[in-house]
Amino acid sequence: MQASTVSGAAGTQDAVGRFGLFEAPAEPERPRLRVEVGWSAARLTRAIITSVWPYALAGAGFRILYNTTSVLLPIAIGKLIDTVIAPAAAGSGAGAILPELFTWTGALIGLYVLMNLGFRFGGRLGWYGVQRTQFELGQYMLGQVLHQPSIHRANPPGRLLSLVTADTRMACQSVYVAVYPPGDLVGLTVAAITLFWVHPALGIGVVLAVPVVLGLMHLAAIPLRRRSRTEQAGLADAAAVAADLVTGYRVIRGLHAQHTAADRYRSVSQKALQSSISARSAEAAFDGASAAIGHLFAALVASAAALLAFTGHITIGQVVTVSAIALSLIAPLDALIGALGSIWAMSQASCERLLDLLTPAGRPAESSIGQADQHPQPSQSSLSGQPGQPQPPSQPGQGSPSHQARNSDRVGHTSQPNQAPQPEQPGDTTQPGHPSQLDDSGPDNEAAGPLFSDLVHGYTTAPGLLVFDLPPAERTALATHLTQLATERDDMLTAPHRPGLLPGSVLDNVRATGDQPVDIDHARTALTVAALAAHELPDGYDTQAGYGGWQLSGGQRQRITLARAIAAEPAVLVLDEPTTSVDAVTEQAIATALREHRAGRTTLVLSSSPALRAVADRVITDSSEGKNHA
Amino acid sequence: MPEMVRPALPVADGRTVASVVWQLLAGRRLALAGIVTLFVIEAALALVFPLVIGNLVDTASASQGTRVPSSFWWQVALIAATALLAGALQWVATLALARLAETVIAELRERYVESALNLPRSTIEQAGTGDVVTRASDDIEQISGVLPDVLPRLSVSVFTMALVAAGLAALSPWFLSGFLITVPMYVITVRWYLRAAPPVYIAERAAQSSRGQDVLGTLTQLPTVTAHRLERRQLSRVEHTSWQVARWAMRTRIVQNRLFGRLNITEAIGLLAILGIGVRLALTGQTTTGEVTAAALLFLRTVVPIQELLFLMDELQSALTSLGRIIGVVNHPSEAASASDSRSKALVELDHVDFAYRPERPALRDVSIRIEPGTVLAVVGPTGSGKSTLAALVAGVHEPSTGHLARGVNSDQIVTVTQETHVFAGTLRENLTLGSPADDQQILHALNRVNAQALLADLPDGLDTLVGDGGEPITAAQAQHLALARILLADPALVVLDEATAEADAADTTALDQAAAEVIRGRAALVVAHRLSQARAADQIVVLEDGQLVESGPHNHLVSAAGRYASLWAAWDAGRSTA
Repeated sequence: MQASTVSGAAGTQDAVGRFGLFEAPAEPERPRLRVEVGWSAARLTRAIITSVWPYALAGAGFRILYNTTSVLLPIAIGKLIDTVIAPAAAGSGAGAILPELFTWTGALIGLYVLMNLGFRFGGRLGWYGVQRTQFELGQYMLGQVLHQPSIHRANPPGRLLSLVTADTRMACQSVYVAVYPPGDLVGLTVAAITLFWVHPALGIGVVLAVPVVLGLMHLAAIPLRRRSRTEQAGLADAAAVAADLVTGYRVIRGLHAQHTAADRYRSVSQKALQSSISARSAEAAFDGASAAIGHLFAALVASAAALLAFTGHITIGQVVTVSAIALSLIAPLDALIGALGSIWAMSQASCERLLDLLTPAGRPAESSIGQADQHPQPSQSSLSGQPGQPQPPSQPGQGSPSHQARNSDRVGHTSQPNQAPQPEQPGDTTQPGHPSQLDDSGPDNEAAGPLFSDLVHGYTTAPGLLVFDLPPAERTALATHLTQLATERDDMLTAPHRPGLLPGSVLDNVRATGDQPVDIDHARTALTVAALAAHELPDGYDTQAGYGGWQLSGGQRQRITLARAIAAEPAVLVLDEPTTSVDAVTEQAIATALREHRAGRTTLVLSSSPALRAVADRVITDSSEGKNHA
Repeated sequence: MPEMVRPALPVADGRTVASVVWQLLAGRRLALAGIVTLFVIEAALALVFPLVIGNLVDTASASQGTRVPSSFWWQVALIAATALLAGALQWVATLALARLAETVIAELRERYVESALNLPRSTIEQAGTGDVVTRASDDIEQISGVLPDVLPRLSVSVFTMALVAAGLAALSPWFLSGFLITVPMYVITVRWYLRAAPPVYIAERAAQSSRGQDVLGTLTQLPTVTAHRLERRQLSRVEHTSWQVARWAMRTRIVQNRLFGRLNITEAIGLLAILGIGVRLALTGQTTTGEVTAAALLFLRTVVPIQELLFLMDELQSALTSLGRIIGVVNHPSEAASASDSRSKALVELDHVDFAYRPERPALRDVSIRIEPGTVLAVVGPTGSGKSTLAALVAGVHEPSTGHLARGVNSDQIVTVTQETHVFAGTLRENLTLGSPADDQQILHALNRVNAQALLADLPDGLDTLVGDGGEPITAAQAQHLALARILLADPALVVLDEATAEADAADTTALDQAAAEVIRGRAALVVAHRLSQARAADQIVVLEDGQLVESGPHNHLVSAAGRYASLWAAWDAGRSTA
């Protein structure tokens, strides 16, 4: 996927030609955005803007140039009419008007050049600022989500996604507030000064009228803002329901329920239609009102100028200048009123949501993007120590206290009876080198921790294939405990029960453990152990799994994730119901191959599958007893 | 990325799109013409201002100060009234258009969903559901966002330009020639843009979707990311794709800026040409100052509509693409329920059936089975042996390539549940009554029979609890309990369970298998057995290998035959007996 994006990009670049000045560099620059927990939304906005201040400042400069020249353009046209056209029409010779003609034509060309540069580079620099800060904030937020389990435990993925993408984007739009309004304001000021210079009455009149016009437009915008939210919600509803129904296509068709489903969609769609028509009515009223107000304003200014011309106070050319300026005032007014106000409000709301995510009670303050990837994390190294160089099976991974508890008898004797969990002395169960493993097991785990710690302690250090076939409640508690334990031990991997596929090919997925992909031969071997043959997949192991891997069958997904866990070659491997979606025949094959492949290492399997039980060195059906089975 | 060899869903061509849109507009065409007329009048009103100002300039030049002519106040009143009228027209026309366009779009999206759900199952099975979902969300959104604005903006732009050209010609044909020299320049700019912009936009969209997949993949798979220590890997992947998004966003902005730059240069050349012509005409006494003023102001009026037109082309292109994708599905023939064959005594009978998705790779070869009323047939075999294909043939998804398939029931009397679960956003009741209407008592009875009473008890509002996307979380196993309850409510003649209990956690396996057994009790069923315990309970078992039927018979018979099934059973039973 990535390779094709890159090569596609290069091809496109050839077709389009160079992108010229201010193209984004090939690699991101050093992050400059700092975020501190406990900030207000306004403070975060300030940090966002100042993190890209050189671009915001330069962009604003170019925008000022653009807006100023836009206002000056009508002056040059007016001057040309006054000093060239009017004398020519009055009968002057070509020679008399030539110097003025050259002067003002040159001025017009010069103004167009400046306007061109101002618009193009102002927008470009501001946009780069937005893109860059958006990138940095997005990476920061994702880093926080990934490295702070408390965040991802408290929020469903959909919400995290919208925070990491939509809210980050919206928060960074505030950069525009630094880039565009200065130009608009300067443009308006230059226009007012020009009008004042043409005639003081015009200047004063415009300065007084502008706030009235702004106020009227603002009033017209209020219902629009209110209703556009309803419309957005309604439309999102209609699209979401459509996608939801179509996603469940197989379920609907299996039931022959397509007509019921279509009827239900129709009612949602009709509701969305009503709210969307109501929002559009508000929008139409706003558009109509602002068009009328803007044009009326221009008409009044031009009429006043004409009146002054009749009474001889200003020239004909100045009437043209004033009329054109009056027209050119509408756009910056629109921008100031319409877009920026709502951009600001929305970016503030997004900033607040982002900060809320980062500040649950008791979160340590102060962290910055530069440090995000160094956030305390028990282990981020590859499970097998050196990337791409897994250790031989007989040699336990680093930190594994292999000398301890070789005696497998200990397993049965030290575990607690299958009753309500009883408190234990932490000192008895704590492993050397991992002093915190049991105390830290978290609130989810407080019942399971003491109960299983002893049991698990022995198992995780002795080689062999052990199957835990426990009652549901105990099974869940043990799974939670082993998951927690694995985050604290470098040599241990507890594969999650739900098969989770990442974007990329099947092979990419199997190789995904640690920072670097695992050895490709290990991955292929693991796929064989997991009984996933290349010919089962449309493009072999290069088949794209996609997000969620949903075009693959449940059994295929489960075997890919099983292969990933096996390919990681951890000293201690925990598999949680690895074969529930696999048919009996395939399950048999997996069980045999798994036992052979993991010979000499520790493998714990939580499963009630007869096939896996059949190959186990030991089957534990109750946390109070361990029964030997050869 | 290697392309999947998959037949894609249909996309309508331009002519089909036009004819479907024309049909959708039936009864609304007159209204649409009226709305377009309103927009054109509004565009025409915008030209009043420059013409009046030009006239005022001439009057002022002639009067040389001191006296305000009586016509002045009428002219002021005229431009003020024009401003108000233009605003009012815009309001009314936009409103009327919104009602019309939104209604048409709602109709289109409703027809899309209905058609998509009625597409032949074989079409979807081969094309994958991904594309249908993308069309339902992205393409519908694209159309709703763009199409309502297209017509008014297009007509306003085109008519403004036509009216400006007419106005200039009325002032002097020479002024018109000044405007006309810009036309080839605009054409060149447009052609450049249409060549340069699409690849950049496509690359930007590809980068965005790649980033979206990476971010969503990371966030939805957090347990995997944590378990496999993938935090830094994912963060650096997202870093890479995000930066690509930033780079392409920059490039699209640069291309847009260049478009503006070229338009701006063309505008400058046009203005200078008109002023130059004005100077020439004034020198020879063929025009007045006011006329030159009016010509210059008129010309400047074309700047915005032309920019609009260009940016519109972009959006129009992608909206038309989306429309083609929507209408392609809307126009696709839907699947008809195949009627029962009264000669057939068995519910379903396959006689020497071959089937292949792709000719070179047969999925089933020479398979013969019979499902009698009230009996259960279990299908056993390794992955890829053709079990699901056999189930799909029985359910009527596919027709055999060769051989004979006879059904004693209508295909809509056969209900299928696969291992693919989906909980629809809505209430629990809505989820359960999808297949057939039922009162609360019937629903509760069905839930009890499939062991789902505990699920109901856990939900805060009972049957009215919102579930699915954004509602109370439902596990895959619970969703399958609901799917089984739906079968009871639908009460079909034949049930096809294609690994319907495969998604369960071990804790739920027994409950789910019991529920499945309850659903098929006293009913004919084809069960793709995934645990051999399910096969054992069946009246007949067929063992598939590599698309061929290698063994068939009841459990005891097959076990004593000491063949493929017997060895599977021995291994399975050994594991169980250690408990």
